[in-house]
Amino acid sequence: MKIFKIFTSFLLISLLISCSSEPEIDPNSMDSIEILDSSLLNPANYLVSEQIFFPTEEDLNKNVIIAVHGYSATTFEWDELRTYINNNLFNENVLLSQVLLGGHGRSYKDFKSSTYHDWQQSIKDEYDKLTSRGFKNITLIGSSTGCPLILDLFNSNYFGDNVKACFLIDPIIIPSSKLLSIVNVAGPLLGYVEIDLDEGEEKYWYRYRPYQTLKELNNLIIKVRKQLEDDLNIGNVYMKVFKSLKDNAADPVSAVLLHKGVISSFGKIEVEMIDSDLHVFTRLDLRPDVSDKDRQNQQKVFNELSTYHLGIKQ
Amino acid sequence: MKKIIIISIVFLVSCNMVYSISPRVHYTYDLFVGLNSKKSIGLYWENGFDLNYQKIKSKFSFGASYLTSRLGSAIYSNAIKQDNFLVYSDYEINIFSIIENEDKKEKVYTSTDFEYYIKHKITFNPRLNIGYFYSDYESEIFDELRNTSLLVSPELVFSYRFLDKIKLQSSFGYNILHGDGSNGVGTLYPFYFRFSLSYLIYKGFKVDGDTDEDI
Repeated sequence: MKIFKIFTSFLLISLLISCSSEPEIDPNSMDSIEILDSSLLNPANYLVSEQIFFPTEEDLNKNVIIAVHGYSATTFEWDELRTYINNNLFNENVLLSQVLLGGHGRSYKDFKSSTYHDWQQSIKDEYDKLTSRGFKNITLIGSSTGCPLILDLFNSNYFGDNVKACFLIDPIIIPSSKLLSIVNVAGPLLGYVEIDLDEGEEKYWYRYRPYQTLKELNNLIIKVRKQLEDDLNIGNVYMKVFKSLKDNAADPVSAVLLHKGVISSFGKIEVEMIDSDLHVFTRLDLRPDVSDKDRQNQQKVFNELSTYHLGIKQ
Repeated sequence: MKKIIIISIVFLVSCNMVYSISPRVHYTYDLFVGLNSKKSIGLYWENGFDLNYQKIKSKFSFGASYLTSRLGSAIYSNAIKQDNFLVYSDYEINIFSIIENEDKKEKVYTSTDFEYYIKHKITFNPRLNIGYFYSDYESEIFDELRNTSLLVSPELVFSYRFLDKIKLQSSFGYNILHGDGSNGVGTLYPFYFRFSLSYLIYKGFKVDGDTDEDI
């Protein structure tokens, strides 16, 4: 009888905890309905498909980079790449599309109701629009959750011959927080998870992560891990992975799974481990303590991108 | 999978042969050998072998296990090959006698009662595992990543012994040391389920002064 009473009390406590599952949202944060990602207000500044409706022959010869951000982030994650491209006159050869994942860059409520298929839809939409207008030299660059979203599309042969290269920055296949694996059980009890953000980041990242989206994230990475276990063929695409040696979001061992699981016509893909403890080390803006080494790491990736697109590594 | 089934059958048949040809000495312990299987929640299946030793008069038992993804998720796949070497100690608790004490019930059983049979065959065994974990990354690119770890894991084991010689166990465990992106091995997950099927290869005989419950 005593055991039965303890069990009933536990159920009641769990129910009470699960009832208080809505966070108090700061109106000046990304979680509120007041703040939207800039790409929703000025899409032409972010998407090539919203900028060039009738491409010239010159436009079509350019490479288009589709940059995909990570879970709970926004297009801000790739703003520094745009700056790099503009500053290095690299824009004569390259066009950049900063895709905003579905469900992201809007309110907490919108984010909560989104699935990983919604997140992925934005990549598909931009790719479809570009290829329908004749763009044939497309490079994908993903950070964190952007990477499994891209890999899942490769696995379903979504991209034809139009994608020539793919760069993955801190891909998440294995999460650093292993508690994600019990999100189905712990999630309904917690409702959401609050994360610490540095000053200014609250306008570009969600502070509150609803368990429904964490569940989606977990489902996505498990799905892609299994695809990698069975060989994920990317065909004639050049792929390179950059992975921080220490990372509080995407476990560095994710790079091992990619190295073993992705096969291309060129054989094994390239993987480079980066001496960094930042997650998505290519984004340095709004980080409090950026070292010279962090800047070198970021430049290294951007330089490799430019080297590739200037035709040296075709 | 076919390989595992064949290995399991060969293994059980060999155990039975060893048991049947072994000399009938009055051992004071039970020795089980079996197969076990571990599923980390969110990651791999790892399968392997288990050896369990229990002294007749003691509630404590000791054992050693080997579990590997080489016989699990990594068969014919790109899953990471990893090995767990464990030694453990159990303490056997009869769950039903605890509940009875709580309810202050008293009942006399005869050894032929079905209820008696169930109550004395199902036990709850808190377990502590200690061991070593190794993960094979198969490329020098990952030399800087940690691939070995100490294993420390408390485990709650439910054990059911039937047909006298066979012991079926299922358990839930927690790896105290696991990967977190900065420390530990990335594919060492905290929560897991484990199942084992063991076969008695040496049976302890009743010696003077033992009660039925001891055995």
